[in-house]
Amino acid sequence: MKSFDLLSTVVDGGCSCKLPAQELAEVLANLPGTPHENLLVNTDHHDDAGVYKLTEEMALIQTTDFFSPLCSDPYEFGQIAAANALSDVYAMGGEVLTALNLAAFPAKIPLTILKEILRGGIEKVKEAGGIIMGGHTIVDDVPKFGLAVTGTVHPAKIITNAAAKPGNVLILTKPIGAGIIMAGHRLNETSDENLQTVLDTMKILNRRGSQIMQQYGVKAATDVTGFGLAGHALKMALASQVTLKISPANLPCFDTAYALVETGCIPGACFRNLDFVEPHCRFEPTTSFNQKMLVLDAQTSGGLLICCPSSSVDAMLLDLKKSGYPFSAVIGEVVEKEEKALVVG
Amino acid sequence: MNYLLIFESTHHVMKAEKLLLAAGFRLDIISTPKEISSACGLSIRMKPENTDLEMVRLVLTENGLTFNIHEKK
Amino acid sequence: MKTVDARGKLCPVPLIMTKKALTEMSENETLEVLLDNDTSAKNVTRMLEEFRMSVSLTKNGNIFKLTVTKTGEVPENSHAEDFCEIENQEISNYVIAFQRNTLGEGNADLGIILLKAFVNTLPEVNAKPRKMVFLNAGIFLAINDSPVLEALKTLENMGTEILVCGTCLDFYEKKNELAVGKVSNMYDILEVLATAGSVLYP
Repeated sequence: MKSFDLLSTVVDGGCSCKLPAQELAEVLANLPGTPHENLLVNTDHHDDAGVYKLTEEMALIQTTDFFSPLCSDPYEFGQIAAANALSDVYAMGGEVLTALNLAAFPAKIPLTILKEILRGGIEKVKEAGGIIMGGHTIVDDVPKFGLAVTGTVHPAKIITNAAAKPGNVLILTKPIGAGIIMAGHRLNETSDENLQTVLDTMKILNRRGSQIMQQYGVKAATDVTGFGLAGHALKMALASQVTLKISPANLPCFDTAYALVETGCIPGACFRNLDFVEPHCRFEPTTSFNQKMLVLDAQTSGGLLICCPSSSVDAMLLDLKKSGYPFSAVIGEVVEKEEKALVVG
Repeated sequence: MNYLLIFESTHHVMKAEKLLLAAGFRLDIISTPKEISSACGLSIRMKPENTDLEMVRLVLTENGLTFNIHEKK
Repeated sequence: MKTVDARGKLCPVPLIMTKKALTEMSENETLEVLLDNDTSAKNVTRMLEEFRMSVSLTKNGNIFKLTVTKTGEVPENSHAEDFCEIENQEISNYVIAFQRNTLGEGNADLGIILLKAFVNTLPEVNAKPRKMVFLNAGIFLAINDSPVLEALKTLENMGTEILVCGTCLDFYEKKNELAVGKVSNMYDILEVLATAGSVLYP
């Protein structure tokens, strides 16, 4: 069972198989909405999840995510896909309540593989303190797995994309460059060890990060996934009507990711994300082509991009590092809205 | 923020640790921070949220131990 | 004129091939890149535009032909270390091997309290150990109710790897009480000690 390579079933895995941002926007535009006074965060904001108020003390967070395999081992794939889906709850400052499995599987592959994928996912949900409520599996040529997740958060403590304030400091909790390393590995240009570091980082839940954000009264954050650091930072800047400045020199990135970009190993997702980001972004002349591709690199189950109140930065960084995010770093700041919503350099 | 109990000798620290643990307190033995001058290189660190300082004082002074309390981040 | 045939190759291979060819060419030399899909053609064009080289693209049936003249140097950045800080600078290349749960020889009570101070102070020290190994009575530091458990967990979260001897856990019948790190064996522990920059034996 272990010798079956899940990657043999796919071409584009992980969050690289997201629909490109503008195409998604086109599809969603002008669709009928379902406004409601209890809908605290809706799809208009293109936030990480939707939030619905149940009582004065509790709001429900709902989100879903699934994709095709990005690694060889089915159990690891289940773990990563689950962590990725759960991440949106944490980006909103919530805790996980329940989850449903969403799976697609080819008829001709042994079912033991599917079992391993599901086991990986279920164990990750358990680690998050969530309850598995069931799920649904269909037949498909390419395996897919993910979750539909329900989380909870206090209505007054929701962390959104739209509350970034000038003066906030940007903290990123996990390194970037995952997409580049995965592409490099498919070409045998990166070691198994480097790949394993990336996969292990993807499995880390953003749960402690969410709890730390609530401790420090953070109001704005997002998680970094398929649109790359630049894409998700841009969405936050646009929703909050501010400008985010990112300093490439301070970005934590995976070992050898930079060297790989240098050789031209640039996943297609970088160019898709560039199309989305470019009209709203100024890349300063000091930002190299390689750094540009790095900030556009699609991540899977990436870290939290936190808008931290300036007075709490040192304390929050220390707490994050002690809580399982040792590569957390200050990567930029939020300023008053300028001509471009995002500045890199 | 934590409470740091600073004693005059290692023997005092060891005695204090035994007494406080027996009384049900939670504590850590740490190296005395450099900025605090002390005769003893070891100190007792306690968290404010689960420490009744008055009880701590009682337990220690009843047993003849003198000490200073510092507040440290 | 140099030709790169990237037909049949999936991204990012055409990009890698193109960049490599450009680096090996001299200025004003022309490069021709052959591709067979729209995405690759778009991406290679984009990359060359970023390098400020002008590209012309022709399509013949299913084959895309990109022609570019090398002008100026291909942007290179040899200062990767400046930008990418994955190396956790707080982790140094030393390993600590705990062979007992006391520190030093002499008075037993003093030994116990010294060891507690030693471990509890480690998270505050700038140069943290890369790994920590626990052997014989040292395993008692890594099980439930250990007085230094919180410090060990903090160190683990900050990137220090913790290995606890399985034989020892088994001997003391504490295998089910491991509270931090992972169960290891003599082989792995030997590897760790042999490949460490230096080993501390408190």
